[in-house]
Amino acid sequence: MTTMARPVTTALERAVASAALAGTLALTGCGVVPTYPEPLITDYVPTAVAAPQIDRGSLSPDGFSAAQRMTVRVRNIGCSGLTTGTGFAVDPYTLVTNRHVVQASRQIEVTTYDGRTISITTAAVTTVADLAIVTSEEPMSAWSTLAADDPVEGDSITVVGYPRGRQLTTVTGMVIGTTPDPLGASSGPVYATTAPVEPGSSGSPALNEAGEVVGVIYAKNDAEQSFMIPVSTLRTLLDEEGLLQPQPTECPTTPGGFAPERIVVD
Amino acid sequence: MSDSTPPGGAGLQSPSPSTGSIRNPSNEETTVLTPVGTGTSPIDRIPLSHRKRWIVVTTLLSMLLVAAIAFIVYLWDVSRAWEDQVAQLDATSHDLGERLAAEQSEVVRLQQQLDITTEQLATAQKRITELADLNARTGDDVQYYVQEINRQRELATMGSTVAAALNRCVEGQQQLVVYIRNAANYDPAELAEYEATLKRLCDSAVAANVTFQQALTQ
Repeated sequence: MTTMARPVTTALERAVASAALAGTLALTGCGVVPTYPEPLITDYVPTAVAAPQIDRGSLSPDGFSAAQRMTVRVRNIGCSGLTTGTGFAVDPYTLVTNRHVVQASRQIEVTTYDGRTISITTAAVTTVADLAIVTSEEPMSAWSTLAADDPVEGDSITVVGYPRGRQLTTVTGMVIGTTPDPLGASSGPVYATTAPVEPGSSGSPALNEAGEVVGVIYAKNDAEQSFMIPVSTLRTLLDEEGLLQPQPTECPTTPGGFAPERIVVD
Repeated sequence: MSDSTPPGGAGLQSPSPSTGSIRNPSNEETTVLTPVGTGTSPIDRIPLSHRKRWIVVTTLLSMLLVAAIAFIVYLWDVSRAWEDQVAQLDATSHDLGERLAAEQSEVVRLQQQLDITTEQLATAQKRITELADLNARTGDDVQYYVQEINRQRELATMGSTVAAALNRCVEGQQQLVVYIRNAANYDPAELAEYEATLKRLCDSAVAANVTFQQALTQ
């Protein structure tokens, strides 16, 4: 009886010890013993690194785009009447338009997108293209950036101007390609586009998708195609002042004068 | 046990087993329990080696029990801490939810306000463009009327000049008539020169009048 009890007791001891050891190892060694929770953070709202910045883009505080603000309506108070066209600023005081818009002028004024009237002090024209450079008395609120390269066939363009001397209008079109000047006014090639323009749009800037000037609208044909002088020609004109000559503002004296034409749009 | 054990009954005990039965005088069988002396307790009757093992086992079990109780207390405390934190998180979640709902409501309100403002801006821009156009065309009209007034002024001046020239022509011709009526009193050569000068004056006045009439019809 004694010899039989001894192995039972030993097995029980071993079982208890093994269970205790296994339990201890299982609970502590394997890391499954639940622990106290970490202290909670006090603020779950992340702190902004910087205040959010609003991208104004090219909009002015009054909501007009840079293209609209830099584009002006040109009023040519001529010797025989009034004509209107379009122009745009290339710097605060310098504006570009067409030569035929400022021809035979006694006085030139421009009106801005918001109705301000600004007088023009000097005007100069060139014979190499239907372009003119005029200088304003007051600074413009916006001016253009000239594109580095001429457009290529298929490029989208946006034309901002005052067709028929009426409201400021924005139209879009596509560059068709180069063509000889249909009016023979430019020594170099010009570009034909599909942008719909009207008399009065002459001198409108043609902008690429980046908002850069790629040409100056100066004519249209019966097929509703418009023509523009490429920006490379404009750059040449702005870089070489020798190509410009002052535009006379004297009118020939005629007994009784000429009856002014009501409004002519160029 | 004392009730069933007669006094001085020690000599009646049976050596083993410790209990036995005897007959009393009334011939009733009585169970006699033998008193347990020193070294005869149940534990004492367990072999020493077994006793040590039981002690070890009991000690281990006691220690395990204590450890288990401590562990249970610990777990209970941990559980309570987690429950507290869950309650805290629940409250925080509700707070954040309420704030989120309030912010979403504010976003909707601001979006509606932005839509209204955008619409107002578009209307204002359209009105500015219309007024700028109106202003520009008014400027055109002003310049047109300035030119027209200047032209009328030039025409008036021209008409006055033509009228004066024609008037001098008429006066000269009236004077020539007087001269001719009294031709004997004047040198014929001077009379002829006067007449030629008068003719040039009148021709000039007529030409100016023609130009004036043409200007009027423009």
